[in-house]
Amino acid sequence: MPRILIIGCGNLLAGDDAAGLLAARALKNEGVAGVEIVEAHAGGSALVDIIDGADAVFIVDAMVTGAPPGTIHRFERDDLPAIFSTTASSHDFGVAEALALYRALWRHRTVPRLAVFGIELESVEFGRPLSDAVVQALPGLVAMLREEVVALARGDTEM
Amino acid sequence: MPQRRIKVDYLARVEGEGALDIRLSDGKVAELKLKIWEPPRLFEAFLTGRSYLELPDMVSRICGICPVAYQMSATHATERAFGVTVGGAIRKLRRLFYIGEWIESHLLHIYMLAAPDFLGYGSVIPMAKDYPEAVKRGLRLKRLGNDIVVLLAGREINPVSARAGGFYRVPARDDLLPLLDRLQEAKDDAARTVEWVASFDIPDLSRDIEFVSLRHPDEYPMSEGRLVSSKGLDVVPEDFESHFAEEQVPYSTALRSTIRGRGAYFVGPLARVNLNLDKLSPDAQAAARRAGIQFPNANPFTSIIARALEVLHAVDEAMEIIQSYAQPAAPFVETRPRAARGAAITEAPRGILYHRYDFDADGLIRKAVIIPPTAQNQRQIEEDLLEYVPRVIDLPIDQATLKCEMAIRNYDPCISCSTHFLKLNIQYS
Repeated sequence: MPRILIIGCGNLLAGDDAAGLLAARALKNEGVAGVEIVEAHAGGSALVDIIDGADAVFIVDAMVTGAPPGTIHRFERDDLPAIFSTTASSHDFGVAEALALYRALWRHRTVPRLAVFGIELESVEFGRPLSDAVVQALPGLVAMLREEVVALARGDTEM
Repeated sequence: MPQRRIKVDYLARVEGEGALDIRLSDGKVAELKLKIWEPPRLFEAFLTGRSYLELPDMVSRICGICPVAYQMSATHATERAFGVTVGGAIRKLRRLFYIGEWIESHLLHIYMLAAPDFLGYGSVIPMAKDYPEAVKRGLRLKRLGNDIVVLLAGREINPVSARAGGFYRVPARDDLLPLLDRLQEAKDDAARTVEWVASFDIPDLSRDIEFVSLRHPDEYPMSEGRLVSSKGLDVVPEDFESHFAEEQVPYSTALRSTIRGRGAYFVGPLARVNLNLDKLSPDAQAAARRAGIQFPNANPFTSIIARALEVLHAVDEAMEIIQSYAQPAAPFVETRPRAARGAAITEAPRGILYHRYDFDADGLIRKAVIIPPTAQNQRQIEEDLLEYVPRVIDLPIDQATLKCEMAIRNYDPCISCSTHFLKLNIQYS
């Protein structure tokens, strides 16, 4: 059985930054057979551990690319370096650094399948609810993610 | 661009920023200002009117990396106000809880932040290509620290089980026993960490420094004991404010602390090791001797070794605590509020953390004072830089900046994380 992993990233208290976590939680509540769903509230260094040993990893997070709020993005492994900028946290690093560190550490054990789903955020102000644009887009993101992992878990698509 | 603005806004609220302004005159440092942006201390204001029962969960939000420290200073201060003493298994579990945080925090610092400085890498990512086994060792140890905190309090960020008198829920013995095997492995990792950092090329910045930490007669200091210094201070934590003063400087939002009548002082792992070498576990003491670095040590750059020694001690003590653990009948000691003042100091990963609260008869907070370690170290950091900057100022600006960052990072201040956090502004006149 391949280990298929969905990792929702973000901060529940920071407006649209909760989107990735909420997408993961929605899938967890629905239940997706053969898929492990993790909510990553902590920093990137923990992500390195979580990813280790997985055959397919789908990361879902709020993003800033300049697109209209609510836009759904999907990136493959090869797109990642160009997309991510440095995430500065005072005590840990972000998703991009975690993936880079993982690659540096386990050059011979790269995750066979890795994709990042993003949802364009509007505001990450603390204490704010999700913006309307993100609320409206979230079900679409969840559906897209579900379709992809279900096909993979069933073996309909290849790793 | 709107996305730029959002990002900066987010950082400004949560993370902190640092800038170092240096004015040189005739090649000498005429003025040096370390500007630290710390979140404004609104916490002290909005805790007012809140119940002592809400306090631990509110203060844990002050810091994402050392929430346990905030919870421990708050709960100990509350217990002192209400005249409650916590002993036995609950007291030991709290030490285990704190140990988890120390391990987590120290490991992130040693492997992810400081080691790249010492080994000449821009960040841990290129370093990991050349030192994969070391970085994996660091990640393994850090995960152990996280897992200890999660086991005791539900999650590693803003853990939710601490309360005045103990915990809301305590683990059964069987919950803790699986950690023993991992701690046994971690012991080897921790010993190798000490050897590794002791092999680094460590600049010498030894000076006359006043080190301040807790000291306890029977144990390595964490949440109890007297407040002592390398220059003879020896007081109860409740007297902190009589011996230390906070000052506002116009260029920084962090209040700087001084010892009244003397000036800057140093808190954190190096202060603890210097003042409590005899309380480290026997194996940690032996590792210190083998490392070939003399302690007490007045060189701030040896902080990374002190951190590694504390990790080894923490692993030893965690094993001892778990081996002797029996689940207490109740997870906390009953606390009955009364109108009183309580103050406590505990040893956060970065040094002493002072909390003082005035409660009314219902246990509502009338006044709160919180003095974090980074603010206490700020003036000491400036003094280190005054000494260090002339030695590196002739280097190209990017290298000089890196050296200054490295000197600041000895304190693992709350601005230390982003790889290049410092803006170095040099003005020649």
